[in-house]
Amino acid sequence: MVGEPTNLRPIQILVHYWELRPQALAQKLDELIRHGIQHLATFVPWQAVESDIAHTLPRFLQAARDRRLTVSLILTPELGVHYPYSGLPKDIFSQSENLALHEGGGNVPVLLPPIGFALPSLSAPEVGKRYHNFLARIDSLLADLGRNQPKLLEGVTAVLGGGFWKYYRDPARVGERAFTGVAGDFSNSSQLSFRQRVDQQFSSREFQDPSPTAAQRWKSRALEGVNRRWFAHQNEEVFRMRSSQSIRKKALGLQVHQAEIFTPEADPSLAMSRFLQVTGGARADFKRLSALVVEASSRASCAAGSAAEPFIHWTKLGPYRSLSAAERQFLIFQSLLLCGSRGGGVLIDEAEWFSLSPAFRARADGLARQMAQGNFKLPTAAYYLVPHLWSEASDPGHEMARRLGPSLRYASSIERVASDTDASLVVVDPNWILNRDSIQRLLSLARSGKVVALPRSPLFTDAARRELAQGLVDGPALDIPMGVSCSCISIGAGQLVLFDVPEGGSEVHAEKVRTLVTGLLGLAQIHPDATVSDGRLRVVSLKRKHGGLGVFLLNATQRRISGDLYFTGEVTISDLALVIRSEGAGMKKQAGDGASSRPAARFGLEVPPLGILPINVEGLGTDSEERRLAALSGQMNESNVLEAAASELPGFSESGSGMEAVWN
Amino acid sequence: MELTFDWVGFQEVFQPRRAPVAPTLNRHSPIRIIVEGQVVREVFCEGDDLSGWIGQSLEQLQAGVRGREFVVLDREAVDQAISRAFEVGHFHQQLDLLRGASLKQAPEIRLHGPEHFWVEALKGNWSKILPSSYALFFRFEGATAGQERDFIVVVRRGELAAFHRPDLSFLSAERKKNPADLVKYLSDKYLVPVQGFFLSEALWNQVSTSDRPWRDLAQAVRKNEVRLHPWRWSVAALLGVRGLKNS
Repeated sequence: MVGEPTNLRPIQILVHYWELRPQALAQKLDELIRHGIQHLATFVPWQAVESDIAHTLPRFLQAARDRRLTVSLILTPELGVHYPYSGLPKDIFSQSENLALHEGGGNVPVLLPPIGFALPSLSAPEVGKRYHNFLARIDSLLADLGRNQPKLLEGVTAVLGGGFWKYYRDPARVGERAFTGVAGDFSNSSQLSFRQRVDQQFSSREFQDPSPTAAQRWKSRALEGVNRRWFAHQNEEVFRMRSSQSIRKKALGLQVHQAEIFTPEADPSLAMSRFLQVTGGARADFKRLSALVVEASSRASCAAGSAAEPFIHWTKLGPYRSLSAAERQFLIFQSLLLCGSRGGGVLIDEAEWFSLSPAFRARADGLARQMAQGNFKLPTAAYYLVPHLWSEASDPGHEMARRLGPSLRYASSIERVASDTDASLVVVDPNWILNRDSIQRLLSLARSGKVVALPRSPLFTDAARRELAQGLVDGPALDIPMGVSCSCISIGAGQLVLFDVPEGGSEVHAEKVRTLVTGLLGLAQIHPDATVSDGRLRVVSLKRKHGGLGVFLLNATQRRISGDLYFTGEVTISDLALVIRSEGAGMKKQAGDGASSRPAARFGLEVPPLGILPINVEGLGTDSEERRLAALSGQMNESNVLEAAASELPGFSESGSGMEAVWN
Repeated sequence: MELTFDWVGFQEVFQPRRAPVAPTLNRHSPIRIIVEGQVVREVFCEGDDLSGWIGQSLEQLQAGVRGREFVVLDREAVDQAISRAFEVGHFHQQLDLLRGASLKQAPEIRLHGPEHFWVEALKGNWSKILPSSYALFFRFEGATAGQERDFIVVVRRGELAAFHRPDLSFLSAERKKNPADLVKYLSDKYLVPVQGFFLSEALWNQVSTSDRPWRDLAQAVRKNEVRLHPWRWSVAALLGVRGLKNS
């Protein structure tokens, strides 16, 4: 089972309702219906709502309802909207205190038409006030519509994204990875709020243990980076929560959906490269855009503990447009594979979608349909817990991402990790503040059958140390060297690993990190289902609902690549597209029909430039799956037995000592 | 709603998609670099993946990639150029400022390709010949009837003051088809003289991607493949002269 919900619409077609004149609106919707579109998504620019004297939004919703089209209204401020300042009111930008500052102290530029601008700070009081006024206005508008025409809102979903927080990064800190440095808003209003929140957070009893002066350690300059990450995460959570509360004050029946919408073209890591492109008349950097899709889709956002599905938004405005048709198709398919199989998908402008070849659209539609039916899921093998999703993770995280590819996800919520029963390994970043509550949750994760790895960092509170010692009291600790000193303790159905944070010179450090990650993956018995001999190829293995795998080999280069595909055991492979087609036609697969290969553990394959090779894999062992299910079932049995014993046997306590006392 | 600056429409008309540059054909393109101190912060050359040099010193990059031309820009100056660009009205003006800043920093820089020949003319010498305010209306006829695409560009003092798909919903179907009525309506609406160009979509795409666009356009006017409404001798002569210069 994969812990994420199925998304019914992995490809969402964007319509800019504010650009459609009343006469053209009906015509456009009819045209989309003729193309088989049943659901539309649209941004709702603040500015368009504030000056909507022609009531274009209600008219659009009415016209969609008349045609039985369902609509997603994206209400949070997002980038890449075809409206000046991405729909934000212009006057916000006239005051410098409303603008966000990145870690390096500069503004965060967005070089996208119709107007390039510096990102506003969502922490600025003026921006916050205007935003919540906008939400209140939308809430009233939708409530009125719902009151007058109750049926109108049945097909409408309000979508709340994560806003601009993920873009608050220094454009000059571009390296091998897109998300480097500490992300977050460093504007004056945010700094003020940061200091207040730090004081508030560390004034709690846990951080003043053993004496009130202990709190000073947590507020020290040495922990500034750690606290910044924590604060940035908190800001994002509060933003999501308040948005969610504002939108359902009056429009009670409105469905609200949480998503994480990412527009790669607007990412600040591309700003410098974009500057060089626009001044030189060159085309966009395809490789960077592709890498951003991979990075963004590996982040598991959440809102109040529940998943916020990842969506990649491709506009017709920015560098994406200058790419060749093959490159654009590659990016869309890649986004669909990585986000659609995780409950999200792709947001794409309707004109852009229909400019793609019919053959490509049919292929993408076919895959999206399979995803919507839950036939393809990308299971997460391991989570790397980071204090802030959009800031740089420590080296063990990077090494795990390199080894596991899309099977690794970054998360900043333990609840989010707990809701996913697929993952068998959880590694905590050394920058994570470990308090009593987080230790309790992590121990509970370990008891449920996962391997939980905690760094021996100085970021444990005293209460957390006590909680940890208490939780591990019964288990013998086994010291295993994994590049660094590690202690492994069996706890419930799982294991807890305490590791020293790797240190040393760059080469020594890298070796230690590699050995540590190898050890942890081995302990959690994580072996990628499929690997390739050529590092330029990327593998995405999707689990099929009725068994088997859908393996996609992605070649993001302009050259044909030949390589070997390895599996952990002998399997048969066949063309996935043919298999899906025959399954769709209700044909049963006959033995020896010639479509499948002979069983083998290694296959030589050739992937065309910018090609994506879909392969159906059958016969892969289900050992790890069975082991996990057995652990889960064992855990349930144990708790049932203890519960029954507690009610039947007087004096019985669920702790081990209690049990011994009863029987001795 | 009629957007003042319809960027999607503008790109469709004035920025046709071009074919990618093959790495082997790209040997002569300069490598563009942004440095902070002596550290490479960004490096770009179309078709080449040079991202591995980010974070290295400029010296190392220049030693590692031999036989190529380098255009080096300073990060602080780039940041300032971007900030200044954000103070002006729309993306087109912002791009002009950014290009200007690049030229100022590296006069040897070659700005190739980004500007459409027509936009270049509107912002260039034409502003000295044509009235201070005017509009150009384009109707691109598709392969079949009813597939027209309209676009209007309003120019004031040599600057693009507005560009979008004009709202013709107030006109009857008959008047929409009549070039004279259309131009008159638009002229009344925008309060500027309007010059209409009526041509096929295919011809526009061909001219836009041609090496000698003015010559091709002038020839098309002579063959009546591009119809001017109203017929103005001055405009026809201007196109003819540009065509001659371009041949």
